[in-house]
Amino acid sequence: MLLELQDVHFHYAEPGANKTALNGIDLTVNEGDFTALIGPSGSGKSTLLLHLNGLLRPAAGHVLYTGCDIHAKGYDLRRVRRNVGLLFQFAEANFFGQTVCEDVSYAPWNHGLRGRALDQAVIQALEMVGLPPSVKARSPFSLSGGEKRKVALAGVLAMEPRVLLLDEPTAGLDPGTRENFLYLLKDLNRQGIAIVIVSHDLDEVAAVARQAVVLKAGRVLAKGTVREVLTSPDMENWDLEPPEAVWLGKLLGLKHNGMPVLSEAEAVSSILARGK
Amino acid sequence: MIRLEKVGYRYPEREEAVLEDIDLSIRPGELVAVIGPNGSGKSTLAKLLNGLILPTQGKVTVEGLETTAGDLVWEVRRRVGLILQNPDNQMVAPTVEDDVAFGPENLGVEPSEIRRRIGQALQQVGMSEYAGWPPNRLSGGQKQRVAIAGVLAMQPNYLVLDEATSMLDPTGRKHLLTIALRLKASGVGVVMITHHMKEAALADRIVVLVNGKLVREGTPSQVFSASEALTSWGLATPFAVRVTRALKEQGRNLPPGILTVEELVNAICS
Repeated sequence: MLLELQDVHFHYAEPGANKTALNGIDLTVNEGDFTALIGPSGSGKSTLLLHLNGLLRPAAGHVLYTGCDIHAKGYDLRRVRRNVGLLFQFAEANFFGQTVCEDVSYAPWNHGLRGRALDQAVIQALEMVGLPPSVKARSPFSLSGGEKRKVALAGVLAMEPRVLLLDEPTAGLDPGTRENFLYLLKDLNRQGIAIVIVSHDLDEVAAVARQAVVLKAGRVLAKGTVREVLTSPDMENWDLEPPEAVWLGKLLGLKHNGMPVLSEAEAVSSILARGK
Repeated sequence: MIRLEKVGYRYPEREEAVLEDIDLSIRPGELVAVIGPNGSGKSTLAKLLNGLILPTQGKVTVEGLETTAGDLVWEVRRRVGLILQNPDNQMVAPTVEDDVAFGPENLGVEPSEIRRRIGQALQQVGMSEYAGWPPNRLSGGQKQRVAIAGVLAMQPNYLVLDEATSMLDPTGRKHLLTIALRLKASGVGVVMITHHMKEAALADRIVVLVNGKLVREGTPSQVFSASEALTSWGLATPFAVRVTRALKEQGRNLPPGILTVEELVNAICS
């Protein structure tokens, strides 16, 4: 078990309102997982992500990394920050460097990497997102939307994290670029990086994730395989809209290996099989 | 009407034009979707529509007012509300209600009228209970709804949504689409820039931008019938169109013009 949340509570203190953001969350992230956190706006998804790498500290409960409480006295939080990388929403909005190299090397430099090792980390991270080393010298602002997002991800990967936390990583990307980016994420997961993704796009969740956790009002309402969760009759009660393939499957009663269909390809083959 | 005549835009010190030779009209009460790959000039087009930037070639007129004329720019922005993709770029005030008040205050609207508009606009986007909150404590989708309320409080004749739904959850997205359709029904011209083909399918007209040029314009059925071209541009067709096509390729007989899951189900079951 890489990460574990035990009964985590958190609230943002606001004038005139005391909104509970997390209300007793239990969650585990294991090696190799590809978990989607889904739920309506304000359900606590992003707040939960910020707990997973120690950026927020729970008001009650515990966050464990490889079995140790990361907020225990004397625990070096940098260990979590190095191993649990976080890609913020629209991360490219935080670019500051004149060159891609400055942006990608920022985090590893902060963690003490220098010289050749730093250079290697930058080139390797760019390679992992499918960008050539020559991109290093370019201005990050001169890149396309998809390339910018990849550079932002490279900045996180340069730390060689074991877990990747992604907050709406494909928001604003066109369909072709999005598909390409999702393929990249699947590949990183296959290489052994555990991924926790926050996404409103359940078609996307169906395409990449294996586990899904439903959050609402700071509580976990359900968890299971992506198929179990996304095809659940409770989706409506969770204020979630199923992927279109699931919706079509539901209206036509389509099955794939005895289970409700999840993908477009399954829906098509199920309709064709039924007609014969 | 918003009218673009031979409009081009080139950023200073850049050789390549971001937009070239765009001829386009947006009429009152019309919903126009603009689709295009990243970097095709969609956001530049959005900013040209309300005079946030000025064309370097051709002209943009809003109800007869040309956006190049300096003093008229506020008049243009009052008429054309613009919602950007990332609401963090348009939150300006310490609380949600101050933020919504910002636009009408700049227009010199009466304080009592401003209060009324704030209440109405926040209610329309479902954010009334957050009136006193600092925007930086809201989720991305909540901030976006506040940004939308800020534009609604200006009571524009045209609304430009630049990927405004990309931060919203499905409920928020449906909500915004409902607001857009309601405004359209009341005579507001709506321009919706989107990467979601399902949303584009709701439009009266779809405009496709590729590399700064307007390459297609037509009804959703017309535009989505060119699926190879769309894919080659990094775009896609809606789910129901893709499934219909796959079924037809396998010899299924289905009628033309299917855009939604419901239409597909009706066709299969009839």
